[in-house]
Amino acid sequence: MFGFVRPLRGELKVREWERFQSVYCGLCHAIRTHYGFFQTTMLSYDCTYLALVLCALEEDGGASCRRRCLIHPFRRKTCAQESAGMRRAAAVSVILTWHKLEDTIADERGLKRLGARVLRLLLRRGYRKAARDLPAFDDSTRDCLRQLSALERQRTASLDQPADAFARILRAAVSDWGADSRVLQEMFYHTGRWIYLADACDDIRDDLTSGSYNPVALRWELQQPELSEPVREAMNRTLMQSLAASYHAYVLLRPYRDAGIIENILCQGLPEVTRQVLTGTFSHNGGKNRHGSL
Amino acid sequence: MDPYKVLGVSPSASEEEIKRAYRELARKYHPDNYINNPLADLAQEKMQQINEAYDTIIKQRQGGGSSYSSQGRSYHAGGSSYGGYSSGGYSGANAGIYNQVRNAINVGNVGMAEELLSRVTQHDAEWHYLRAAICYRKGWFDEATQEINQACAMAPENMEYRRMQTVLNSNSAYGGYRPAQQNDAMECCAQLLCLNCLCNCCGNGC
Repeated sequence: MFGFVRPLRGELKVREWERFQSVYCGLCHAIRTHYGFFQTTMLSYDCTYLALVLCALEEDGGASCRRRCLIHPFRRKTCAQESAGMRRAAAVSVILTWHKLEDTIADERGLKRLGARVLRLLLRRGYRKAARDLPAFDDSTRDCLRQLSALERQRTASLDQPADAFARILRAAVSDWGADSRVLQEMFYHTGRWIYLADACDDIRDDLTSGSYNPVALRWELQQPELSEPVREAMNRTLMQSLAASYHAYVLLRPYRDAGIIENILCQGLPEVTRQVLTGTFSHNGGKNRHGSL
Repeated sequence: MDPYKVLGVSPSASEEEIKRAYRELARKYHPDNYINNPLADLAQEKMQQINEAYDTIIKQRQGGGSSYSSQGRSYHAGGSSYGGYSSGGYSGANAGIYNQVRNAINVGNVGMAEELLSRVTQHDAEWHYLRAAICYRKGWFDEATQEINQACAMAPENMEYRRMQTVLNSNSAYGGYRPAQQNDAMECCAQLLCLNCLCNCCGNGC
């Protein structure tokens, strides 16, 4: 996805940061084991969050192991052990990546499109396997993205309609997750709405230049990429309302571990990213030269 | 279930600690945070659990005396007056359908409420209000705000509309959710510091 969901590192305990890293590494290993090496290049923080939450709900989880990988060939890194939640997040990540790539191929021209085509060739096998593992999620992702691109073609001047189409994808990712699924669906629906709108805010400048669809620009009839104070306040409110709804769902869960990290993400990390995308100070690489990877 | 576990305190905790833990949890699960929320029933269950746990502990500590009457806690469960869209005294052509819409929202059938509302062609203040309620429940907060503002513009004296408008237009009230938009606070501090410096400079200058 986009890599907007991240903790506020300065407020995490050292062991919590290490745990977050180990979930990221564990998810990467799970993806490589089941869906092939190439898929791991597309991993983002957003799916790490999904893995973190799903693993926190497993009674006998939380174990870790030390493994090497291509990025860290000499020093073994601590990785969260694979579990059902981890596998779900891995499959979700692979399926989302694939559909996003299809989108790029449909929308872009030139080199970008060619690159996406090459990448698609490399990712096909892994995607087919993931789609076999989660056929219902694959279908609903395709449906929702189709609705989303229809809304984009009509240049719908609404925040909620396109955000809803995207948010339903994340809801579908946890729609069959046992006893907690009712709460999880609500929690991830609102997270999805937030991700979509945060991404739209972050893209205003690019979209205005290229003339691409941007719901925030259309909703507020923006000519300049800078948001005026009332618009920024209204956007902040609507984004924070989604986070509040997500939080109110989350507190109804009973996590066995990692509550501190999840609460950091919901109450500090995401509000901070909200502030950054609204003031135009958000940086995708977290200040580093790497894309959403640790 | 162990009442101490429910409140997340150790059995050796002092009464003050127990009260604090209880208050913290009650703030999280308070029905006000779940008005027109599809998970309201789960929150109410939670609230009931912590109320019971708190009562049990206090009773135990008072030696099982019968004098205790749950007056120690500041929150009470089972208030059913929350979040319900009680059918108002409608009159006029759409009274029947508006009542049905309210009932549908109350039982959580948003699809039906939407369907019913779309049959009404004349959009008065109540229509916009009900539309806002539906949007709010779905998490379509931007549209909910637009609709409630419209309803309030058409019927400025209606208190029910006003209440919802206040909730949706508030910049800081997100119920039990207390986000830390860190750097805002930092900026504020920085500004204060700068102002402070300026004052000092002036002070020295004089």
